[in-house]
Formats: sequence, C-alpha cells, structure tokens
Amino acid sequence: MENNHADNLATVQKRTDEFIEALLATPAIRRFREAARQFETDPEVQSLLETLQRFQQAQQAGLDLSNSLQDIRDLQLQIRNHPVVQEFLSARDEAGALLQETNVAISQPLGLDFAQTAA
Amino acid sequence: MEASKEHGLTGSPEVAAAMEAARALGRALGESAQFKRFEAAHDALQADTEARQKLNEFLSHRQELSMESMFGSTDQAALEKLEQEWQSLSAMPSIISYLHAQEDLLAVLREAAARISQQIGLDYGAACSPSGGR
Repeated sequence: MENNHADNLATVQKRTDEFIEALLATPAIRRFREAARQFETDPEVQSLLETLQRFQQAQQAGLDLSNSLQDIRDLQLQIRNHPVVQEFLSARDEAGALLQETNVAISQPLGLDFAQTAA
Repeated sequence: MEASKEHGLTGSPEVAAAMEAARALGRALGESAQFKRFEAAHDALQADTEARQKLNEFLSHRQELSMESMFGSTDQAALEKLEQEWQSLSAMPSIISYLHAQEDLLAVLREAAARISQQIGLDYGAACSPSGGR
C-alpha cells in the first residue's frame, strides 16, 4: 500500500516534469522567458522602475507628493510604452493563454480546476 | 513583426506536445492515491445526510455572520454558536476524513503547480485566474 502510494506520487512528479519540459519547448513560453530576461536586465527599464519605486516608498513614508504627480504619471507612461516592457506584457499574455489551455486539459480528468485549487 | 505570428497557439507541434503532456499529468493526478481518497471521502460525505445538513447550516451561518461583520456589527453570541457548530461538525467521522483527504490532495496539487511556476518563471495559478493574474 505504502509502495503503491509512493509510485503514484513518483508518476505525478515525472508527468509534472515532462509537462514542464514540453512547456519550455513551446514558442510562447520561450518568448516569455526571453522577454522576462530582457525586462529584468534592461538598464533603462530597471532605472525607470527604481525611480517609480522611490516615489512609492516616499508615498508610503507619508511624504507629500502632490507636486510630483505629473512626474509620476509621465514615468508610468514611459514604463508602459517602453518596447521591452510592452514585449514583456504581450509575451506574458500569450504565455498565460497557453497555460490556461493546458490547465483545462489537466483539470478535465479531475473534475476540479487544477490551477485554482492549487493556488 | 512577421515572426510574432509563429507564436500562435494552434498549429505548432510543440503546443500539441504540451497539451498531450498536460492531459497525461491530469491523468496521473487522477490516478494518485490522494485523488482517489478525496473522491471516496467526497462521496462518503455526500451520503452522510446528517453531516451534510450540519455542514450546510454551518456554512450558511458563517456567511450570515461574515455579511454582518462587513457592516461593522459582530454578534459575540452568534460567533460562539458558530464556533460550537464547527466543533461538533469537525468531530464527525465523514467530515474528518473529508478534510484530511482534501488537505492531502491539495498538498499534491500545490507541489505540482509550484514546480511548474518555478521552472517556467510564471505563477501558474495567477496566470490561469480569470483576470490573468493582474
């Protein structure tokens, strides 16, 4: 019984790893990983994010930012319109759509939503 | 920009392979001892009329109370009554088995999802939520 139990779990782990491997080979996940790498290493994007973070920290510390509101809006717009950020967001959407499809396939034999239940 | 069309979800053999691997994972989870025990505990709870009735009462009282507390008033006596209801519920064998089975199944599902999230660098649960994790 205990052996069976362990076998079952080993199979689940094996299938999980095979699924991960298959996901990593898809164009959507490859694109996402590359976009995430660019996003995390692009000096311009990181510098914009750090500046925004400093504003957020100042706000949390209770500083009056009413004179900086336009600067903050410009900064947010600059981040949102940055090609590296745009590619990251678009790649994340595409990866998310693929993951949702795979979740339907995983969930089907279980009669429950795998991703929601495990979240 | 032409290259971005290749990222489409359909028509790629890699996507077909990922979907097949997803189905295989679903089957493996469905065949696990944890899932089978959960299903059995679920059926046993469904068949236990008394436990089900008590559970439904508890859930509806809990909902009433959480509605009330949203509007600022928490009735201490009602809270104690709810606690008592839970105590008596959680002593019922079919409820105990169900909760344990659920906990064990959740651990298996969470471990698999965490592994996936970690390896692909994207939170699987959040990415699959209706809002897409945003």
